[in-house]
Amino acid sequence: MRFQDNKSGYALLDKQSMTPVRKYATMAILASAAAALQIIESPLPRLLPWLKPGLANAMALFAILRISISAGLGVSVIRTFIAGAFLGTLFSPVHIISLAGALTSTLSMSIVRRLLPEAGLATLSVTGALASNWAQLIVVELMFAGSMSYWFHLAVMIWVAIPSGLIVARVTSELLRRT
Amino acid sequence: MNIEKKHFQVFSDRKDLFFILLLLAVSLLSWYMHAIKAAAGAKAWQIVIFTDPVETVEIRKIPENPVKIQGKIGPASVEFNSAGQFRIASSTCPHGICVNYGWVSNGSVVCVPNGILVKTLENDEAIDAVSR
Repeated sequence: MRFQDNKSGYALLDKQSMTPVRKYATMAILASAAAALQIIESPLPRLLPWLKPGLANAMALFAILRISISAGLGVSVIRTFIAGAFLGTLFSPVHIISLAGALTSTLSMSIVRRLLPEAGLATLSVTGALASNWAQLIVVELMFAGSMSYWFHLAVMIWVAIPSGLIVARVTSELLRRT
Repeated sequence: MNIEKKHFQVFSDRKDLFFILLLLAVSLLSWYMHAIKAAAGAKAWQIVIFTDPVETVEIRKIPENPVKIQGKIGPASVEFNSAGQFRIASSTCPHGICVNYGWVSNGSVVCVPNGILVKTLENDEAIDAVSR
């Protein structure tokens, strides 16, 4: 872990300050905000069904950095259930695809965070965006027994994951700065 | 309360930028691989004979012998080579334009008088052809 001086202006609360009540309250707020972002995003036009901005990942990334990896996973799972209930897709293939993307994204960001503690938000969120898109593609492939061109999808995915990951990184950076 | 100051930025150092550039390189490589695969030749072909009713023949494996078909006005044959190219080898038509068209990798050849269309199927169409 790299700690810098006061120049940055970014403050991280230590583990002792995160009481259970505070932790669960923060998780609830993050899950609600993430679900709201997912609901707002859902009607936006997409190039391919599994390609979307994924702004809800910002909340999961914030939870990983501020609370813990398990909190990030919790936020991701809860938000898919809330968004699924609102969008009428709960337990449908759409919900399963969304859940797979959310979990894979959060897990991959957590793994990168553990392995490369110095990694910036861009690396974390772009990895999360790529993992989410890839997981959703695999689930679609498994569910519908399709036969897709992986090279084509990988090429397109990277071009979508980079801008969406950078937006998520910027949002997370702002959240960390303001809280 | 122990408050640690920590710097979280979109790009913490050059490694983040390098990661993005690496991904862009992977993307270009993937696109190149996709292009090579697409250029390698079609995996499926379709012969449409515009008789009444219209007949469709789908071919998913390169045939060793020319495919004999009965066109609108007479017999014709479509030949395939090992590279996945095809041509109308013979057709009952007055000018033989379709025969003179030669080998085709991707696309279609039409024999208007004999009512024959031979075309390659794109990946998605080929999947449809299999699942139909």
